[in-house]
Parts: sequence; C-alpha cells; structure tokens
Amino acid sequence: MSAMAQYPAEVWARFRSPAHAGAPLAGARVGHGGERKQGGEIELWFTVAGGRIARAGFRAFGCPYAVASADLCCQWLIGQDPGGLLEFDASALMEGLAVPPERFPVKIWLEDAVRAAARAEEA
Amino acid sequence: MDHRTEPERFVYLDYAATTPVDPEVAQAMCGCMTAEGVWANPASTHGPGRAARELVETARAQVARAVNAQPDWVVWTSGATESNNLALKGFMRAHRKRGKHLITVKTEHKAVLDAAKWLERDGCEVTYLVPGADGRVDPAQVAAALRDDTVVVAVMLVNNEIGTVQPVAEIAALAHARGALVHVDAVQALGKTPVDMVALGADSLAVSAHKCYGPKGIGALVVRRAPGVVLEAQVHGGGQERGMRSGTLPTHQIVGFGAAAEKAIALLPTERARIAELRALLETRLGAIPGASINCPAAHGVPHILSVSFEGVHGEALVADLAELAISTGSACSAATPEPSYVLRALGRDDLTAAATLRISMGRGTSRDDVEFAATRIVAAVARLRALAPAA
Repeated sequence: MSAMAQYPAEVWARFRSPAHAGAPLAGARVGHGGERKQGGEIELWFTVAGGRIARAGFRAFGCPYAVASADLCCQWLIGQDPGGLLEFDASALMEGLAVPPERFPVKIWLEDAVRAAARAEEA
Repeated sequence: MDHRTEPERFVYLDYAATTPVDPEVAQAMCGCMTAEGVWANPASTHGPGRAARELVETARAQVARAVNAQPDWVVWTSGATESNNLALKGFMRAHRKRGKHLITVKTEHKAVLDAAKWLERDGCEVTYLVPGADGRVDPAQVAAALRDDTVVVAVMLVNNEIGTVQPVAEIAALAHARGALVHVDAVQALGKTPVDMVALGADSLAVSAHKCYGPKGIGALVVRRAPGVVLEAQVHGGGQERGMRSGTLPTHQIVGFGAAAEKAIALLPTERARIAELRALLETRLGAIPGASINCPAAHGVPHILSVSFEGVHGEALVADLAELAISTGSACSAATPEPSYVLRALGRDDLTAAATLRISMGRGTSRDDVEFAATRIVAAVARLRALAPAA
C-alpha cells in the first residue's frame, strides 16, 4: 500500500494536481490563516469583477488535507459574493473532502484565510 | 469514483525498519516446521528433540560468530525490544546492592528509553545524556555522569534514525573502570557494519533477525559470561536459556536467525562497499538541494542510513508526494500538527525541520537506478512543495 491510500481520493488528486495553486495576481485580495511555526499556513486570494469573485487561488504550507481544502475552496469561491464571506464556514467543504476530525486546524486556517481576504476587500 | 492509480514504480528504501527474509533463510526455516522436517521441541530428550536442539545450537554458534561472541553467551528472545528490556531490567535488578543508577542517551531506541522510564518508576535513577548535533555522545559526558552506584551504561552502536555510530569502545572502557556494566543495542549494526562484542567491551548486546534478512519475532541478547555479569530473568517458566529466558524455543525462527546472520556477515564487506557508493551518490544529489542538511555525516555514520532534513517543506506533504518511495519520516503524522521525532529534537532540530526529515535506508535490493530514481523524485517533490507554499 502506498502513501496515497491513506487519503480520500479527491484529497489525493487535489494535493497532487491542485488547479488553483499559485501566487496572488496583481490587485487580488489576500488573506492568511494559520502559522507555519504551528504546523500549517494557507494564503488565499481572489479577484473581483462585477461584484463577484472572478478568480481565486492559494498557496499552502501544510498536509495534503490543507492543500486539497484550499484548492476546493478556491473552486467554490469563484462566482461568490465576497461580501458574504465575512463569516465563512468551511464545514461543508471539510465534509465534502472527508477531512478527519483530528485535522480540524485545517478548517480554522481556511476559514481565517477566506475571512481575512474578504475583510481585505472592505479595507 | 476513486481515480487514484498506484505508481508504476515503487522503490523500497526502508531497510532500517525491516528487511525481507532471504530466500535461503526461508528455505532453512521451512525445514523446521512440518512433519517432514525438524519440528520437535528442542528441549525434548528424544531423537527428534535432539535433532532440533542440534539446529538450535548451530544457529547459536552462527549468531555468536556474527558478533564475535561465544555460543553460550547467546540468549534467544522474541526480538530486540525484549532483549533491551531484559538487559536493562535484568542488570538493574541483579545488581541492586551496587546501586540504582543507569546511564543512557536521549537518542536511544524506545525499547531502551521506555525500559529506563519503567525502571525510574521502580525506584532507579536514570541519567539521559544529550548527544551532539551529529548524534554522537562524547565519552567525556559518560565519564562525568558515572557514579559509584552506576550499574549500567546503555548506549546503542548505530542510531536507527540517523545512522550515527557511537564510540562504544571508549565509553565501555570508562564504564568498566568505574565498575559499571555496558549494554549495547546493536540492532542496526548487525550485518551492516562489523560488530565485535569483545572489542567493543560490551557486557550485553541486543540483536534482531529481521533487520538482517531473517524472520521477525526472533532476536537475542548476547551476554558475556564473566564474573559480575549477572542478569535477573524477566520471563519465568521452563528454565530454558539457562534460566535467563523461559519459553519453548522456536526452532524455525532460530534457524532462520542463524542462517541470516551467517549470510549477512559473509556479504558484509561487499554489501557495505556497494551501499557506501550508493549513499555517496544520494548524499551528493540531496545535499545539493538548497536548505537540505545531512543529519549525520558519512564519516560518523553507517552507510545504509541517510537522514536528510529540508527547510521550508511540510513533512507530511513531502512523504505523501513521494508515494513511489517507501521511506520513513521524522514525524508521526496523526494530526495536523506533526509530532517530530524525539531523536531529531534531542539533536536540537526545530519541530518543522524535524518533521521535514527523510530517513532513507538502503539494503540488498537497492540498485543504483533505484537511488537515482529516488533522488530525482525527492528533488522534484521539494521543489514542488516549496513553490506551493506562501513566502516564508
């Protein structure tokens, strides 16, 4: 059994080939969650056009669950109203990826990153 | 739909964890299990029992030769964990009158450290030495820690995580000068580097079959027979092994250990040289990665274990990205926050670096092509994960 077998299929696929990984585009709103020294960090960004999120991306220092969660979150963010993200709850995304309970810091990092990016829009 | 596919190529580089049973060893073992073979209880006095006993004694001589000991020094156990427990608990209990002080090292295997902790709960005092950055203990540290009531100094010959070779002979000389016994965990050394129990000055030596292409579930504590070297048994029953370890002897396991030890010693010179070349290649490739650090230089370690730490890379992600390689990491990843190796922590590595550490261990099945493949994959994985991470 190889290392991949310990992760859900979608987590594995997104970790190995994240579609939304990359540095923030010019003018993007950027938020951070987590702290590298504490074991993980997510930087999430998005651009807005016509009141809706047009592009989203991330960079992550963390386990495959952190990378996959950030990638799925970026996919979900596109088309959202950024004003509705100040109380962003990542529970549904975590459930969708079958992130195990002991990985709860990933959810916190992601929520903090999205909310910070949303606040950056208001700033 | 599960769209994962297993990698086309898979390279095993975890020979320090365990090794496959050598086919010749397996064949020898098979001859001791079924009705057609030598299956009787070696403690029995009838003919079949004596035949089994003969094989057990042949194996005892083979294991003894592998570590330059006498056959009657070998006590069969279930493996190195039991051997280490028997040595530490057995010596401490047998020498209560001398004292209750034990010296060991923070980077020892858990089989030693947990036994030491148990002894602390039992009233013993334990001094845990902290090695240098390369894992080596300075004999002067041992000299400073020795007391008149020190019963045992327990130090491993080769560290299982980073491959450091300890200056056991120097340590043993210091310990003996103060009247203390010396126990050596030689599990990672047998068949990988020469082990001479007499030259080392070890009073007891723990070895295991499955680290040298023998079966799991069999090991030995080799105990020097000399005045003052006395153990108190920890397992009681039929009085086998001169009363030091009761229990019916598993002839097939013992025969396997003997055959494995003999073959490992025969192959040692050529295998050690071959593996040393592979290690040099791997060390050159991985050492060239910016932010990579070799945890024990070749000069102070065994060839078959290479431990490398990478700055700016998440440990669990690194191992996951190396799905084509069977390697060990410097952390136990059961949670989002990695739990770094206590060995690397003891050497002063920070938690993130310790977690982003790979232990690559090579063996008979490792080819140059395997090492090239592994190096290429590791270089690529480190680069990908660093690119994926936010700026530090």
